[in-house]
Amino acid sequence: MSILDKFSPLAGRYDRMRDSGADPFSIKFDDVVSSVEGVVNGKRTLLFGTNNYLGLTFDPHSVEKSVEAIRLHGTGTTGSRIANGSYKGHEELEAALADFYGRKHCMVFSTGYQANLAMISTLVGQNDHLIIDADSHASIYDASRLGHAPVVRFRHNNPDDLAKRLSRLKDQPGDKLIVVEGIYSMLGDTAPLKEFVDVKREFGAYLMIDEAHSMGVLGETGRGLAEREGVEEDVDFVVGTFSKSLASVGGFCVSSLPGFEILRIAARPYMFTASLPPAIIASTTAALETMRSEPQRRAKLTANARRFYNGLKGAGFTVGPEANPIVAVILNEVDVAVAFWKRLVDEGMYLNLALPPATPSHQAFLRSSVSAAHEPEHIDFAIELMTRVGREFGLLPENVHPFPPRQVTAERLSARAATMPARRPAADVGAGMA
Amino acid sequence: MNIVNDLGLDSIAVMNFTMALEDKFDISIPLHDMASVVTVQDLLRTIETLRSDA
Repeated sequence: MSILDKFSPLAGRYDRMRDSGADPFSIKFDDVVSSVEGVVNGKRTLLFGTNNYLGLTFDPHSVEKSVEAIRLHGTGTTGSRIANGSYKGHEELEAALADFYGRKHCMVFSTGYQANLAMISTLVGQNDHLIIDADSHASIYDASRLGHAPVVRFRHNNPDDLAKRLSRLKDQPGDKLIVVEGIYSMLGDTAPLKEFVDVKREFGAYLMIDEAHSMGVLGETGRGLAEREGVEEDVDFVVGTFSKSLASVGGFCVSSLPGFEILRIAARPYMFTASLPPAIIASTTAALETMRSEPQRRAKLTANARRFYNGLKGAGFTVGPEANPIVAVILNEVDVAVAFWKRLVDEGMYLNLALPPATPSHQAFLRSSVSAAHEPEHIDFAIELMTRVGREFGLLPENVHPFPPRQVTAERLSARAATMPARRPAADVGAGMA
Repeated sequence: MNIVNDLGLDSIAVMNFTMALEDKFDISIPLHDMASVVTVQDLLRTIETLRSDA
């Protein structure tokens, strides 16, 4: 008997998957050479399984600022903001994020996971109510367990269901906090935010939106879904991450709520963890500058997302409901999904395999994410490969849509012309976009 | 009867079941109230308590 015996059912399921020759949970990159290219098992591999939406992981501006910060300020802070002090860089990044979002306050956290953990578990207390979308990210669920507020779930992206659940709580004292996400990380669908805002107003609740996958992706200036939907005034708290569009690690929350700063000495996942090191703070601040000054990256990302989504849909795959940079191919059988995934990796395309219970409704997803650093040729390679393997596996009817569709060529030309004007010397921009 | 073991519900199914119960009885069942529910008898007691509080 061992303390680990309780994991034997999980170990059994994992072993069965590995016996089939695929282990999606321990893929190893021999090297990562650009935002969209790596080496897996000695083979040059195109990366479609990152969250590198703007293609900034190798951006020279971020890299140089990061190297400079290490030389000037050292490799680590060796402690927490509260116990061991803040560096100037922490405060500058918080000011830059508050400015970007047009909010009065910003707190930076050591990961996006901790941002949710800290904000959600602290904002609502035992006499309040936390109301979350049923398909919320694990960090939101974990936050709901760390905090003391009663938790009620509403059906995914369903404002009427939210209203019904809030109306059952309307005579109960305490504040109500609704938590939704900008883009949901498995299917790439967006929240019906305007309708949620109507419900929020009707019941006098607070609204938090996690823009982890929509920051830099949606909205005129990249502030996310709330900006795109024109409801930022009604969103009380925006949470986000640095590990996707901003190409580093960390998280944040911005708000204009008076008294917000007290959370620095109340939110335990902020207080009792080491603060982000100078190199991360510097590259994140630099990436935020690049994101603001190079909107063409977002335009290219959007064009790439549509190209990939429409290509897979046209080939006959079942995809998510919206053409966003997260593109999920929905498969009903886990075994088929695992074999399909392994085949794609063997042929030089890396993407994510999402399995239940991390997926809604017991399905398996081949989850890709598109980057602004992908070239049309990369996207077409991925569509062609997935279509070929899909047909081989008998998942696609033959030639639903001849591939490649004719309009691809025209779109490629216009997309390049529209998205490539260089605001920096071409070599600079290209370094991260190879 | 053990709801998880005998009815084959995983943690997500239990949470979805909870939402259905909320609608059936028009009550709010916070997730932590379900954490202590193991048997159908436990569930009955929890719902009765919540209904009498409502």
